[in-house]
Amino acid sequence: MSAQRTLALSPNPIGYRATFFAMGSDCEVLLQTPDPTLAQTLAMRVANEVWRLQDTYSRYQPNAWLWQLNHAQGQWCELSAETAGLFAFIDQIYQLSEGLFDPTSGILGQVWRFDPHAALPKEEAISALLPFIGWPKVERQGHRVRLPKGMALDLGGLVKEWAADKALSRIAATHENLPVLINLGGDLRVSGPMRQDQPWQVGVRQPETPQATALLALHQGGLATSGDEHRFILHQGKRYGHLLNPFTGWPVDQAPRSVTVAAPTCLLAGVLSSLALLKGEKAASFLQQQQVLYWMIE
Amino acid sequence: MQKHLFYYLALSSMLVLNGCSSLSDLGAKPWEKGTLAKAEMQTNALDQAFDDHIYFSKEASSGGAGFAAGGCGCN
Amino acid sequence: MQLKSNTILAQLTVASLSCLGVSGAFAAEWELDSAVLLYSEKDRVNAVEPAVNLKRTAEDGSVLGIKLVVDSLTGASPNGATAANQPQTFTTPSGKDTYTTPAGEIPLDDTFKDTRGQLSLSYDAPLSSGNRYTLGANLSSEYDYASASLSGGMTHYFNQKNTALNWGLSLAFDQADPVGGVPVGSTDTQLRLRDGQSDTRTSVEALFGITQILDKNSLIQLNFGLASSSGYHTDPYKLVSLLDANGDPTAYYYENRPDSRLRAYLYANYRRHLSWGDTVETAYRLASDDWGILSHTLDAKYRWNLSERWALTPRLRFYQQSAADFYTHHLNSVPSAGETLSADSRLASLQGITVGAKLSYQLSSKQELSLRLEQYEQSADDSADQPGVQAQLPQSSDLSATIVQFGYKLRF
Repeated sequence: MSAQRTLALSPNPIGYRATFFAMGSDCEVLLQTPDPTLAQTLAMRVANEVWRLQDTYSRYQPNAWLWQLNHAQGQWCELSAETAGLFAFIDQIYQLSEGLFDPTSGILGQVWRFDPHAALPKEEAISALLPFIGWPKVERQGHRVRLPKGMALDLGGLVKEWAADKALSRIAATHENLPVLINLGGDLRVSGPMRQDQPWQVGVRQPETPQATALLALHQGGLATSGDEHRFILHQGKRYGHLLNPFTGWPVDQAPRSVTVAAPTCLLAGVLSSLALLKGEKAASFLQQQQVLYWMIE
Repeated sequence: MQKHLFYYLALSSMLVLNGCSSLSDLGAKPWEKGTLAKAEMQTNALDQAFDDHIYFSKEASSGGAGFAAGGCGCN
Repeated sequence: MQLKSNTILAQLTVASLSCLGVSGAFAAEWELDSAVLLYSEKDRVNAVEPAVNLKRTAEDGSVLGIKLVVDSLTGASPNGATAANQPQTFTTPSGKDTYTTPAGEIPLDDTFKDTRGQLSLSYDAPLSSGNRYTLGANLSSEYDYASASLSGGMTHYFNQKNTALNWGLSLAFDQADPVGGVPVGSTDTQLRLRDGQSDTRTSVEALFGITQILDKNSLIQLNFGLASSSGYHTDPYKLVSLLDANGDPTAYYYENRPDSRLRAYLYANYRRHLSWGDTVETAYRLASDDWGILSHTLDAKYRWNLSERWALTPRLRFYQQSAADFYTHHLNSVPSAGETLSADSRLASLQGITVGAKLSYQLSSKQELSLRLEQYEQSADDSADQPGVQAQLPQSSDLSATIVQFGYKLRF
């Protein structure tokens, strides 16, 4: 990871905008304050928090805790209180989704390569991986955790959203009234409305017509998108999306290409959008049941 | 390819969740308590203590918000 | 619309609190709150009162607090006697000296300066059930008065912590050691009758409260309290003038208050965070006691967030009380032995109004400075028949005080 860890601050009509690069995405922080020193300090706090989480939960950085867990060859690793909290939350999502949401299913990426002209993997290759999938197989004892050999965790569907919420709480700890928007590559969280109860104007991009964005007035909470409309395999006229069912190892049938959800926190928005994708053709009815604001690209 | 944009207009998700209005709904969900937890929604203990002391020594009634600590010979 | 409580969102939201740090773990933190109060009455008492409150929140959510207050008083206060057409000479409480009040002025006793020290400890901690208990201890001492109290209480939470019921009990023990001994009440000051060097009072107070969160921006708190005290309630330095038909003083008597008091109060507080970021707080208290005093207090504050760093909180307070049954402006005839009586204007029918504001400045993320400026005006309705010359003389009960408070708060 050679990306430079720098923060660029510039004035904008709201106050200040800070940009940085983290978790493989362009990130921004909007702060409604006229004070550049304060904006710089608080934006730095956000960036440091996101970088810290990246350095802990990255699958690609050998110094990251998650990389070490995934390469521990079945050895016990240390489990921090922070990660234990996240795992307790994953327990809940796993149960509520009846096993569809499973961070151990990432290893299927070893056989699936999603680009429109790629070939489908062989069935034997897929079924050889299935025994290494299953969240309940992750062992936890107090302050330590162990992954059975051959298994790996991919927290990619959660950490960026979680980071947006956690970074906001770093600001709220001291500046709870400062209107802030944190955008980590499209997963975003606002502290509350801007001054005078004005909502944040957030553009939800519609990938098929890049010029057109749906403008959303966001007063509070978070927004997250799951799915990548460019990652699929076209095989004999059938479209195979990149979202995989952890039980079969095959793409979820008729999953929407992308789902954006607004929820009280960015983490919840991220989980709901992921779950919606996993519901396949029932994505829309699932989101309607949750009574949340959402945008879907089928 | 068909495209849908569902706008559940005006009401944010939070408002929808609080849409029902029987008495049992009095209150806030755990994740809505951020505002109530702000320092400015709490009583400043030192201001309160000074006030209790001033008015205790100048008026006949005292207390109310809690036990007023520190009796004095001023009344 | 019926909310399906089993929506995944609702379930996940509660589950996510564990990793978003909204509940559960507390960060260990120290908080230092310090302030100096400068209280000054026009032509009368001045007080300087520094206070430090140190609070430590531990990881388990328990809060330990230590508070130290020093209260240094100078100036004069009314001794209870009426003004007169001629100079009046009083013996100081010690009996060793005298002071003379010129004709036409309210008699003020300026013979003593007083310094009081107060130490308070409090401990508030969660139980495994999630409810909380509180313990408190308090000591206050000045050269002629000492007070010690202990308190304990519980807070029970219901409805996902939207409703909190709290109750508590406080026990206090006070001892007065008046300069020159404890005067015998309702006797002529010329006789200098004394009943020992000190006297005591014990008090017990019970408080029951309910706090209800109304919605995500507002809450209401209701308290009901009963306090019973027995023992010495009299102010040993206050006198009552005996006036003749012409309104001239002929003698002075020591005041004499009942040896018990039962107080009850009802307190309501409503706080709301407004959509544009400001906060309003209103409080009302109804208090009554078996001395015949009934009082109403209304208090309103509006916190106006001027900017990210500055906030201004204007405040308006009204207070009104009826007189104690044994309050009398003066005596027309010699009181009988043991008769309760007091001319202390604080027991008269009176109104008070406080107007002011507090300005606070967020120095950094961990430090806050504040300045409070308030003006307190108190006036009594002494419309009772004033004999002879009294009608033209000033009455003692009007009070005008300025409250200035500098504050500094630090979290570390």
